Amino acid sequence: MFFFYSLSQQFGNLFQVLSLKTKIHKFTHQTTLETIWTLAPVFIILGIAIPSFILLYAVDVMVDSSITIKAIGKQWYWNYELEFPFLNPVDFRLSFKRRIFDSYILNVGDLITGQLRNLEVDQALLIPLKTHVDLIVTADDVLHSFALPSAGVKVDAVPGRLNHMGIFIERPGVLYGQCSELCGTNHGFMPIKAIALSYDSYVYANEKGVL
Amino acid sequence: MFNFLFLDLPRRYQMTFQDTATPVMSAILDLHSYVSFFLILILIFVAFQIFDVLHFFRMDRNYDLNKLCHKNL
Repeated sequence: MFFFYSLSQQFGNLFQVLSLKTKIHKFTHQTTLETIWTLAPVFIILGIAIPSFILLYAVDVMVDSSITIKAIGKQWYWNYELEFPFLNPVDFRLSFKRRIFDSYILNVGDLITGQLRNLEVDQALLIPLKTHVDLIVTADDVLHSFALPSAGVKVDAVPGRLNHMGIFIERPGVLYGQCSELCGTNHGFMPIKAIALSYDSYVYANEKGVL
Repeated sequence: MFNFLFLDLPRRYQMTFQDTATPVMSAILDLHSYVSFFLILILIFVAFQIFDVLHFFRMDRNYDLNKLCHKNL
């Protein structure tokens, strides 16, 4: 408080000097003050910009991914294609499985108690925990945007373009997101529901095709 | 059924971020807090200066008001 009080005295005097109401002063510059109010914002901006750019480029780093998820935005639902490796329990060999499915919103009438209106889908996207996932986002018809706020993901879905995003989920959870680019009448009714679960459960649930 | 346990969803009158699930989102949250610090600092500083100007240049302090604004001959 004392700091601000003394500051107000300083600035108050300065403004009275600059307004030239009473008498003309001999000096026209206050070099020290001008140096301070030029350099201080420079250092503040640098202090914000440097961590910001570090984060910006750290997010773009592509780690070698274990599985790939392709999300295709359509009017007005999401289509997911995934291919993932797993240990075949029959012959104990490394096998690959591919799954393609649509993810439609659940109507209000179909919800059970505890489910979220306009956020639930019939088939949720599954994401394994502690696994580097390469998310590829594209669109079929118009612009969409794939968003999962908890995972820090918001990727534009552009027709004819593949946008990449690396995801590494650390804890189990059910992540909800919505289409984040105006895409038509049902823009608000094409939610994204992603369930983060362990890799074994992920393989099992994808084979069953539920959740 | 147990979705509400996880809080990764928009809440009513929500003012903050959702819980973070990835390192990237945690870093974004940290940066947001870091930038907010400067934002509040600058907000207080500028508000204080505006208050100062209003205080020191208010009308009843301006004794020798000059009626002349133009000299159109």
